[in-house]
Amino acid sequence: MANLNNVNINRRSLLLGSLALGVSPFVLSGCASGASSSGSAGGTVNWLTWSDHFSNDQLKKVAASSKITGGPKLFSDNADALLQIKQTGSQFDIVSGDALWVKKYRQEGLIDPFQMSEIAVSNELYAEARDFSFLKDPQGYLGYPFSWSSVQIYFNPKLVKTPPTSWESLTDPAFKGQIVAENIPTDLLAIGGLATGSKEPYALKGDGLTRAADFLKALKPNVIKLASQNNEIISMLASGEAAIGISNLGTDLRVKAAGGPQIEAAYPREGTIGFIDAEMITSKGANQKLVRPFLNAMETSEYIVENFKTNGRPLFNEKAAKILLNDPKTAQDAKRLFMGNPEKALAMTLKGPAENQQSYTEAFNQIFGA
Amino acid sequence: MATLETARVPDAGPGPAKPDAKVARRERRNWRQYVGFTPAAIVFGVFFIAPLCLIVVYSFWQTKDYNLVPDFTTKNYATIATTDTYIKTLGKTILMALLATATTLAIAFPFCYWLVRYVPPRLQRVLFLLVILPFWTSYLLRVYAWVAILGDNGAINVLLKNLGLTDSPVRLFLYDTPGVFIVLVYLYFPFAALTLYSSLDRFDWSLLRAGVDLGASPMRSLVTILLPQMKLAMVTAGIFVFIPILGEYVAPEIVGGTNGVLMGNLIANFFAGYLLPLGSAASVLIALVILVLLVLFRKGLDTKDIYGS
Repeated sequence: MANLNNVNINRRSLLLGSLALGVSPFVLSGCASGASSSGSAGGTVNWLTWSDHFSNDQLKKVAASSKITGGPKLFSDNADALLQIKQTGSQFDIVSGDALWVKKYRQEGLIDPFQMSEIAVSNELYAEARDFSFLKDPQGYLGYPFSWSSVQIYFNPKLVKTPPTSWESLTDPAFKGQIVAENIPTDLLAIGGLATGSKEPYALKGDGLTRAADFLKALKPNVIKLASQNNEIISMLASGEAAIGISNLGTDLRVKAAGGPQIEAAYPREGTIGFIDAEMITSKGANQKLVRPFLNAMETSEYIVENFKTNGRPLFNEKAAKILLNDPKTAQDAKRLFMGNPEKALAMTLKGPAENQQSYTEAFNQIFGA
Repeated sequence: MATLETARVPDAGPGPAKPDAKVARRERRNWRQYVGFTPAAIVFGVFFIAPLCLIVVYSFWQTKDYNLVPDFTTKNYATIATTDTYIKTLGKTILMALLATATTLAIAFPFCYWLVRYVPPRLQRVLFLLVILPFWTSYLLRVYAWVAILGDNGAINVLLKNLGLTDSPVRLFLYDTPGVFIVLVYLYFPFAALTLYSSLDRFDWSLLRAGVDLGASPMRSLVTILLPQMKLAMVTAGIFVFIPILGEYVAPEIVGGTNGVLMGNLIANFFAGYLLPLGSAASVLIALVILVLLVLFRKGLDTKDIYGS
């Protein structure tokens, strides 16, 4: 080892050393990304998605079998995901999106159409799911359908004396500080739209928007928290901190699995909003060639069955639905959560971008600000 | 200075150098002395100045149908400045930051005073390690820990129930503004403590004894001798605590519920809703508040407070 006392450092060598140190992370990261995208046998697929679209165990198994590693990054709001895809360019290869948002991605030129036949496992999907008009384009499919759910009311019968029957009933002062919902401004205003009689809750304007905002104002004292992720709703319902949750199908199962009480669903008479999730292939993704084999590996019935057992909401894989409906252990839940009824997905008001996003966000912020 | 520079100039050779060549050489040398700052300037420029400029530029643009449109407008600022909720939320955020900063300092100062003055050095280090220990864990974990402490099934409620003081969970703090206040004080206490401790540790305590010897009461010695010398440390600690609190949005989101919302949460909603210009305008306003307060802090200090007498 050289004697440090003998090392002669002048300003030039210090600067050069600093420069080399500064540049090395970029060089290394460049080598790493090059390694991930090069080679047809495998690599990494970067995926902007929700936490319930995969499990870590599934990603490990898929990586072992296909040599393609899924690199998920989570988001909560569709508008947030759209913004990230717009701003990051080639960074993401797949993005998940809700129902009518898929068309928005296409209009913005952010995704590429594909042929279902390119993803062999698509033959496991329900025929209805392969025919959703909002997922199609003259040039092919825009999204690979994954799961769906309506958004309704769940309540703890031990804590709620008069069960809610409508969105409007949630404004009852008796529910003060008892409700938890996800912090998605567009969807909450859309629920306000449904509650106040709008037929197009994602296209509210003028009086319609004012009425929806007034509904949220009346609802605010009853909302204890706006959760950033759905799992917070589950934990608050499980712990009893919240008595009512505005949440997806299967919330009752997840609350029970989290050690919580038996909770019940209430389907509001004004109707529900809901999502149909799809996986989209980004136009500028750096690893586009890997997306189809990756989806082919991820969407097999084996994993979809596990996904249902974990997340408890309907998915569009017919083969998985048959397995679940024929298994006595899962048949009841699969039936109750409409695994065999994909047509019901079209009965909800589908989630989509607001026609005037600025008005929605501003109205929401003005209600939930100080 | 001129003498020093002249002394450093190597001999240019026989005969006097031409005046023009001398000036050129000096200018070249003046320019070269800043080369060493280049890495810092690049880092500062790329990671601080450029994003800040981008935010300022965005704040004068518009969003139309999920697209940023570079049409100049001051409407974003007008919207923030004329909407009651935004003004109230900004006011609440500043008030929260001021109160949390004052409370943090009020707790940190006596603690550090006690630590430096009355605790043996070896134990001092152990206790101070306990103060900075939370830094070793994730910020999110520290905030969620408070949900576990203040929640319905949290430590406080379990204790109250076991003591027979209550049958049902008490919701005094969680999911409301007081919860945010408690968590912010907890989160930023180490920042204040670190700054005050290092300053108190270097204080010459014989000055206090001299004050008492000359007839001042211990409290008067403290107020007239110690506190003025701690002014710079207090201001620095205040800045370390105050500025990040103004931009806080994670802690209010986790423990604040619908009543504990601060400006950072509204900005997060603006950005999530693709309203970059409106979010940027709100961010610029917060940055301006910080700038004004920093100038006021700076003006409140004498030059000798900063550079030493």
